[in-house]
Amino acid sequence: MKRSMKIGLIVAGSLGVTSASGYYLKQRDDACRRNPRATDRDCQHSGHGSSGHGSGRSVFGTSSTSETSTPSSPSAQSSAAERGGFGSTGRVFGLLSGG
Amino acid sequence: MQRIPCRERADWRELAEQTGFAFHTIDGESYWDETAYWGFTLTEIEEDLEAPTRELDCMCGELVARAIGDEAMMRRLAIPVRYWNWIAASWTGSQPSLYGRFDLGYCGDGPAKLLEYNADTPTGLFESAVFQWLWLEQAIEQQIVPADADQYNSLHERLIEGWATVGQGRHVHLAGMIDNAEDNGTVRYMEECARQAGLGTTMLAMSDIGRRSDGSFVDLDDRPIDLMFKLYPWEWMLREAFGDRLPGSATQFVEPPWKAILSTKGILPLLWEMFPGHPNLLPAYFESDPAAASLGTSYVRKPLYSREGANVEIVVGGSAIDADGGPYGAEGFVRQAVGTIPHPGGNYAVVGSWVAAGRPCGLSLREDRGPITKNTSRFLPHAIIG
Repeated sequence: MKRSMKIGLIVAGSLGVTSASGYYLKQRDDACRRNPRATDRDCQHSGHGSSGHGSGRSVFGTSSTSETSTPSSPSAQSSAAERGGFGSTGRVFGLLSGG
Repeated sequence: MQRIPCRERADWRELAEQTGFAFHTIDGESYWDETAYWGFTLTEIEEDLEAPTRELDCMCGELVARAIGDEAMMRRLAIPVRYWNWIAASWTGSQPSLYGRFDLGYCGDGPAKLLEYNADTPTGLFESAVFQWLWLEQAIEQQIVPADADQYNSLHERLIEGWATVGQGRHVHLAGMIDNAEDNGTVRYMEECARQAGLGTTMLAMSDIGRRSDGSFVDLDDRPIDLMFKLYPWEWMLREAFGDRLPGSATQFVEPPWKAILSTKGILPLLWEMFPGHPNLLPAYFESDPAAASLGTSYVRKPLYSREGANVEIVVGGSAIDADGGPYGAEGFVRQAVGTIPHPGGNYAVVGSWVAAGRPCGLSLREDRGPITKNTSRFLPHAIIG
């Protein structure tokens, strides 16, 4: 059986992937415990769960500016906090932060 | 594994723009490249890439577990002393990881070899998870690939699953160098995944993160930041002005602080020490280690901290055959044996193997005209065709 038949990935509209059911049902804990080199503690540090698949929203869709999003507005700046203490290296290096 | 030239979809650029993939072309050169794709068999995917990725992920977990109790290892990784306890607490407290990407040298005729691990700020996310899948769907429709072609790709679903577990319905702030188109696109995509997992979201620039007198981090509206995704390297944050307030802050970070251990190239020699001769590792040593001489006159020299191939040098027979400039290297270098990567027609390809929500879940292929993968290296889609 090919991989996407197991995944059941659905592309909705022109905006991309929105929902799917998962293929990798075995969690990392199980995988690590099958690995004789792994210790129990090694296997406890990944965020994994059994739910949370797509809700039907489209990727970058304008409709996804949802009620859950709370933009942080520069105009609402308060003097109660110092700012600018992060970000200096990225500006100086002029490089992307990713890899 | 084979590189298969193919025709482009006529409207892919318009589609990229519509989907928010604004950085499909960088400095006038195509970053997204669908003039060819990489074809794999299902056996290659499952046995040569997926299984080793799972094992490498576990091995990295073992490394962290050892490092947090070993001062010598932390020093070799150039992690500032004042953060050791905080980093260790993030591990012993089981702060979860969301994602990472192993970059592998793989030619289809032997074991995949770990070139490096992008544990902290892996990018290429949207194009791997979404645009690549969209290509497959349309490439099948347009008979560019076989009708039964498939793709190793559940990255999007795993990210949503991971956010559901990490976020538990909380509000997440997503920070990065968002004035950069590529970083902005990656953060925006991650925000969308978090929303689909039911989290509230706020996106802000790294420089807009505020620090109150009590040491807590806040957003531009002075709201406390409970959970923060950062597309910004730990090694930078630890050395910046607000870094000293990271220990003791109530903010939970994604990726967690223990990923600072794994985001240095120093893990390459440490993994080789812990798992000598492992089929998915290349011999590697700290440059200051006399054992580095065992590599002879051919090796890849990498700074402990480096992004996008910067300051990496490939030396063969004592001569540099490729090198990329940059600002890194102050913390020292490692030397790694020269791995083999496919280069049909002079297109050097590196396989990125994703882990999200604790499981291997997809591939990205990057190509360059030279053997060092850089920020400008092209992204090619892949398909399972046998």
